[in-house]
Amino acid sequence: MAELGSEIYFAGIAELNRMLLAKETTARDLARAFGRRLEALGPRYNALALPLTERAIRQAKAVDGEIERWRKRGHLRGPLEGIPYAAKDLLSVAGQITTWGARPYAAQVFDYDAAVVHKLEGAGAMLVGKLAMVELAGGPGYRYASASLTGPGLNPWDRTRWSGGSSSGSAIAVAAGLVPFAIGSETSGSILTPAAFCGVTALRPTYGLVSRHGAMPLSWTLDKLGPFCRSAEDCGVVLEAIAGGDHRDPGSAGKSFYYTPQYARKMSELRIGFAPADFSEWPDDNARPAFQQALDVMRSLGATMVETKLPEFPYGAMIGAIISVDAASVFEPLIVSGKVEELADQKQIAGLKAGLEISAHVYLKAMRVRTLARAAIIKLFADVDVLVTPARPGIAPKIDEPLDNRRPDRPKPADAGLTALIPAGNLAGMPALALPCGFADNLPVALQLAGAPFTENTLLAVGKEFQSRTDWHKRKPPGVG
Amino acid sequence: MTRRQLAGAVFTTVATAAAAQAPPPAPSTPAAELQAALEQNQRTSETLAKTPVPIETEPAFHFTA
Repeated sequence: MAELGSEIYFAGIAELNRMLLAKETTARDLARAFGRRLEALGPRYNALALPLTERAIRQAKAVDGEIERWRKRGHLRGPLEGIPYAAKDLLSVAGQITTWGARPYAAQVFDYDAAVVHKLEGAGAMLVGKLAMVELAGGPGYRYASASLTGPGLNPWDRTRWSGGSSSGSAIAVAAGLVPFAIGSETSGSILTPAAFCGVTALRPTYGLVSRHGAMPLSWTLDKLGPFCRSAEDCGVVLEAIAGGDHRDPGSAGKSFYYTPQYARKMSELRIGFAPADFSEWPDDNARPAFQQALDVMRSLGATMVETKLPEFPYGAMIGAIISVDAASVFEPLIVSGKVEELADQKQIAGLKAGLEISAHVYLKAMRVRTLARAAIIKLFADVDVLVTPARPGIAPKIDEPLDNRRPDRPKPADAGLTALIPAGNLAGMPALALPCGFADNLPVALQLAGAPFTENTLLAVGKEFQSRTDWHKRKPPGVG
Repeated sequence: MTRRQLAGAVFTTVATAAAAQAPPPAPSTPAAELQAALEQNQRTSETLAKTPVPIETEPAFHFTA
């Protein structure tokens, strides 16, 4: 086994491609090195659900043969050939335990691979482990970071702080250099929140772009799978590999995705919508300077900045009703059997039970208002190409802090701006990109870029341009080597 | 009103406002937690009821035969 320097753990996909092609490393070396590192350091952050190092090393033998064959042509078969990765433990892997982060499912085993796992294996990527998550991806809501079979996700920047969730392990593993990329999921905020708190780049794709076959359902019209990476560019590479139609997913849009930065529109042709209050009034005091500097960088890209705000709708009530009812239906056997009591978080237990009591007319009202909201949001994109706002208004909360009422003593600003963009974007099926944009009290903060459905290339182009002018996405947490 | 009385009045007002904005304590029993979740359902229902929806608006899912 070749000696691998510690810098490899924070290398991007293109650099790993170069090293594989130049014979500076092999797929086996990478599978072994990242797998062992995930096993050694993952538990330190409560990030690891299941190590799969030996499985990855076995796969790597075949991958190395493939790399050898393609090397003669001067390139790899594809950019993920020989790249290790890990996946949120809501994705099935044949013959392996898939816990969904929840005690009642601690021994659950499926006999098939999730579509995303299958696609990535086909692309030559090697699964080195499954990653911790908030139980049942957060279900209808939870109060404490401890709502997980593996304990609270600990932030690599400060282990007294939460990693964010529900894709806790996915964000931690990329932030701490345990894998080059990871797969997570979002129903409402579960990709953007941990990416922001851990300082990694992550993409929530358009609803239906990535098959959810083999993924735990939480809310059928909201669930999405997406990548956590070192950069916007890597997010494009991974999305291209995992996107595509799938008849096994009723929500599939039947579309592929091709990451084509070379055809991106010029920044000067783009219109970026923002709300000044999001940057001046809503952020926590310690985070405001970082967000305002990030907005200045965004202005310097050359796009036209346009003041805007979201159309007024009860986004919180809508998404609350939809997730509550869907989750209660998905987990009805768990609830009625009484095994729901085995969950870690009392608020989640109560929320699942209460979800069974929501009337059909309330659910349908939420879904009808959603139709109106989606149309109004899409209309917004006649005037702008991208929306930008802080992904979260502040830094990661302390590990034992209640998560459901964090800023009770602060009066809410009158101008809502784009602060409801996470629920609104999920309700409208929009893609979004989390971009690290600075620090507050030595903890990362991030921007959220969002666009109309199927405009991932535009978001990635803006993200790539932003990251060419900043190095926040390259920062490493202390003590990770 | 003396300055001391004024200061006391201001303090009382601020304290009252803070108390009004303070989050309710987390429910301490499973029954109280369930009651809180059911009350949240009720608030959600009331909020959605305030949004008018044209009669022709269909819910945001579709069935295909």
